[in-house]
This record gives sequence, C-alpha cells and structure tokens, in this order.
Amino acid sequence: MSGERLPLLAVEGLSLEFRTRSGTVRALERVSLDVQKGEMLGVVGESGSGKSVMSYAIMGILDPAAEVTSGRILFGGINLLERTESELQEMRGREMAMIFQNPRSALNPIRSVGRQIEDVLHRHGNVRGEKMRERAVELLRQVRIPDPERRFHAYPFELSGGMCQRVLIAMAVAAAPWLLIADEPVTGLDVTTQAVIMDLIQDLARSRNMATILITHDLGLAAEHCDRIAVMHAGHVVEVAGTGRLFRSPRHPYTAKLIGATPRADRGLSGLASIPGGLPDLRAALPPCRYSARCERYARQCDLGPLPSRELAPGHRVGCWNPIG
Amino acid sequence: MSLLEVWDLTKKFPVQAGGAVAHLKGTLRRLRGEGLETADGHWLHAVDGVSFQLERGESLGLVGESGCGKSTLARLIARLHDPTSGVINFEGEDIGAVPASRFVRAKQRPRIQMVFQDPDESLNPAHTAFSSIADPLRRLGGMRPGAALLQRVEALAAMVGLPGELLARFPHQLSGGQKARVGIARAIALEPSLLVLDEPTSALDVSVQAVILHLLEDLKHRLGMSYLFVSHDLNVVRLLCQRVLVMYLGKVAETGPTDELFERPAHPYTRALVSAVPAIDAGDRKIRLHLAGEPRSPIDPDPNVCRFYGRCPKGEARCAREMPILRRVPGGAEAACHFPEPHPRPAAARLA
Repeated sequence: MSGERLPLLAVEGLSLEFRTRSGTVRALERVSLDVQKGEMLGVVGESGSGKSVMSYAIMGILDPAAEVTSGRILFGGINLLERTESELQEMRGREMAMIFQNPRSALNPIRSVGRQIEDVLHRHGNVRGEKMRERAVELLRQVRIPDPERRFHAYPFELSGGMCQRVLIAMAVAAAPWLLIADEPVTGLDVTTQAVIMDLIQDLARSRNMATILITHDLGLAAEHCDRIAVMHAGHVVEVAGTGRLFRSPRHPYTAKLIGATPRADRGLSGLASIPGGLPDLRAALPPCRYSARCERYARQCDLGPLPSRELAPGHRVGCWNPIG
Repeated sequence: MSLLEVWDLTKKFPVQAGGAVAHLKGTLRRLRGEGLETADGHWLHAVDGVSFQLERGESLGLVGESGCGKSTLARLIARLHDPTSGVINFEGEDIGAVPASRFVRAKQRPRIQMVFQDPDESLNPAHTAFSSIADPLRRLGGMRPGAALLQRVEALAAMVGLPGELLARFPHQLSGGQKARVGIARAIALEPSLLVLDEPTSALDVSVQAVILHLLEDLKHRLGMSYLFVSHDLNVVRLLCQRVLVMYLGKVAETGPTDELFERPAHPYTRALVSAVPAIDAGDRKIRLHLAGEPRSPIDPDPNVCRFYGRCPKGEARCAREMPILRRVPGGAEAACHFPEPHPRPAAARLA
C-alpha cells in the first residue's frame, strides 16, 4: 500500500515519445507509479504496453530517439531526469540494478562469470584483491549456485539458462542496490527453474529490504510474488492495486479481460475469454482513453476529458471513467 | 485400434565427448564418410524407450523441461527424425520403418502434419500467406493452381479466422496471431488425422493465445483430429488435453488423465512440476517443491539408475540400482517410480 511513507521510487506523470521516421510514437503518457522499500511491484501488460520502456526510463538507458516530454522520476527524492549521464552511471549498479530476459545474452561470453561479478565489485564495491574474489564467491553462494569456487571460473556457455540468470542476479545485487528491476527474468526458463529463480529474487529482496519491480506478461507469476500490481495498456497505467484485491475485484475493464484471458486450473477452456481488438497504433491520433476502441463499457464521456486517475479505495487507482462495480 | 501406437521408441544422437579436438576429429571422420558409429561411441539419449497410445479425437499433452526429449519425440512422430529403434504404428502401419527422406512420398505424410513454435521461423519470409497455405495442397494434395486451389485456400483462411484480404501479405506484414493462423491453416489444409503442435502459443500474448486455443479446440471437433500437444505451459495443457505425458530426460515419468495427474501427481517430478506452475487463483497459496540441482547428463546415462535420482527428494538405494518402469497407480495414471506418492495431497515437509 502506498501509505504516508516517502516512496523509494516515484514516477510522476511521465510522458515519453520516440521520434521515428514513420512518425512520433507516444510510448508512455502520464504514467505514475511508486515503489516502497522492500516491496515487490508487478508491472503487467501485453507486448507493446510500455512496461519495458518505463523501466529503461527509470534506469536512464533509453534509446537516443526517446524524448521525455513531461514528468519526473524521483528516486529517494532526487529527480533522475535531471541527473547527468555520469551521475546516473554512478547510481546504476550501486543504487539500482536491472536484470533481463535471456540471461546468456546479457553476459560477456568470453569472460568467466566470477570475473564479471568482480568487475561490478571493482566498479562499485570498495573491495580489492583477494577480498574481491572472496566476495564474488560469496555472492555466487548467495544465489545458490552449487560449488561456487569452481563455478567462479565457468564461462556463460558452460552454465544452463537458470544458472546464468543466477549469475546476473549476483551481479545485480553485488553493490547492494535499493531497487532491482527484473524485466521478464524467468521468461524462457523451465517452469521448475522459474519457481526457483523467483523465490531466490524474493528471498534476496526480503533479506536486504530491496524494492523490486517485476516486469512480466505472466499474470500468474505476478500474482504469486508481488505485493502490488500495476496494469499497463498502450502506454497508460490503467490500474494499480494490491495483488489480492486486483485479482479479486478488478475495476478496469482491461484488467478484467486480461485476467479472463489467462489460462487457469479452476476454469475450463469455455471460461477462457479473449480480448477483442488489438493495441492502437501509438503513432496515430489517440483518444484520451487508449482502450476505448476495445472496451465494452465505452461511453461518450470517455472521449471528453483526459484519462482520469481515480482512487476508488485506498491504494486502488484506476484510469477509467466507467469502472466495473 | 488406436490412431497412434508408439512402442519402445528410442532416439539416440551420437556425440563426441572430450572437447574441441575430439569434436574436430569427429567432424573429419564424418567428412571422410566414415560414419558416426565409428566415433568414440558416446550417445545422447534424447528419447529412451517411450511407449504410448493416442486415440482418435484425443488430445495428448507432452510436457517436461527443456532437454527432456519432448520436441524430439514430437519430431519422431511427425517423421522429421528417424528413430534409432522402436515402432510408430500409425493408422495400422509402422511408419517408423520408413526413412524420413522417403516418408515425404508415403501415403501417411498428409495424415500427420505439424504446427511449429515460432511462426517467424517456420513461414517462408518470401512467400505470401496464400502460397504458404497452398504449398501442402499443391505438393501433397495434387492440386494445380487455379480456381479450385484459390477457393480451398480461402475456405481454410476463413476456417482459421484469417481475413481473406490478408492472404496476399508476407509474414512480416502480419501480426503474431495472424502468422499463427497461417501456420495452423497450412497444417490442417490436408485434413490430417494427427496434428503435432510444438508450443503453438508460446510466442503469443495471452489475449491472442486465448483466441488460438479456442480455434484449436474448435478445429479439433470440426475436423475430428487428434492432437499431440507439446508445451511447457501446464496451464495451457490442462485446458486443451484429456491426457498428459510427463517426460524427464528421455523417459516417461508419468502419464494419465489430465485432471488426475494435476490433482494427484504420483511421480515426485510431476509433483514438483505441478507445484511450480504459477497460478492467479487467489487465496490458494500452495507449497512449492523445489528441485535441487540440475538434471543428470543425457549422454550415456546408466540404464539401471532412475533418471531423476540425485534430484529426487526420495532417492533411496533402490533408485540407484534399478530403473523404475511405468506402473499403474491408484486413480488411473501410470508412474515410473519405485515410491509413487500415495497421498491425495502433497505433504511437502520432506522437500527442501
């Protein structure tokens, strides 16, 4: 719940565009989110919803074609958008870190994984020499890699996908960041490995009081691990709520549809609903609500003013004029 | 008689152990035409003594982690690989005996078709949707270009919900869901009796996945097809399949009716797999069973040691001495375990 405490991270009214040859893509529009210390926030949505772009904006690793047109990203009260690149470089890894989908491609293929962890320690960790080696092995042990002394010398190709993701997690938490952004961290891994990696991330986050943003298209994964969930659609945050509440009583029509389209054990195929229509073209002129063309609850009112952000209950925010219930 | 009966099917791939030099030597041997059997004799057991039946109109889900051999098994049955040994009895004939290179002309070729995982890799980028769907009709169905072919392709497009005006488009001009529909239309063009689906929805968003799953279920009934459905997504398998075959390192760990297998898994591996599936069912917080370590090597595995030994929370002395065979367990499933789970609900205390 977003209470009176000052959030660790607050994205406020962030709008972002990409200038491309085929037009201006309005990738994010007035996106607002906050994350508390030690909390795991899920960001869910279909491909093209803007969830990855938002995380790149937070990390300051946007494509040069991207332009922030409004908003602030406050990290510990500091607006990241006003920081210089060298200041951000100092923060990345030390204050906030990110892990990605497809861990093998995020690692240097010709450097042993232990050395790659040492590189991070060298940059941020204030340890040198023998101590650095010990610390790297200790990190491998913390991410539960068996036989860490030996695996220190392994190259990424010698490790499975799950092991590579553990190495990336070790690198990400090496300098004890306050915030970890995990962008589809277990997509492409086996379901048994997924469970192990997610529990590892959760345990590390708890023991370090580290905030985590889990970006995923898998609602089940978000449901199992996140305290709160933000649902994105076509560059808007359409709903934010505590996990139990969001799945029990979704208020935004898109959230309800997304839940209905997710296969689950307690409903058969007949209970699996699809979502009509597709994402709108973000280069074209867009109505205030980017979901309106797909929405069954569409009313004239939806076209009139800018998309609202209504707090229907404490901590439950919906961007909709005509919410469910 | 079942549509498909598979007996003791085995596929081994020759591998060279011992790093780059041995690998190079092996390559040289192959270039000299000396054959792989003369290599240093190491074998990767991708599929090892698998038997199962598939009835007409039935859907069988094939699940397991990557490297368990489920895709190889699917490709053996679709006759894209040649089996090392074993029988693939399809519509009363052993098609496993026909080499894959000659199977293209076998009368069963149009009867078994496949839908591939990645539509981007399985559709020719230089072919329009029309020519992709028309291809099997021309090559295997003996249809000539003309009004009849045009009509048939348009009918197929309508059947899979692909708007006719998209038939002139190339794959890069289609969305993921539209490409998936082209791949399905192509596979059902010859009205096969068996459709092998290798992760057909794993590249799609849930909203599109839902549509494709409904389409597949609908087509199965309309055309009376049987499905062999390979997937890592157990939630999807549960929706679409009546029976499930769980594979672990080339062997069948457990097989049985879907609900039975999900509700009362008997094999420790199935239990871990089922418990790892993320679910949005609020309130039903289950205990997750973690598997320690990684799978054993599939190269030259000991035929007397259970493949799951070492990772299995039970793992008693007998498991390292005697390979368990599939045995019927209460409830109608079969499990290859010396110590199948007797309890209706897993008690997770022994698993760390």
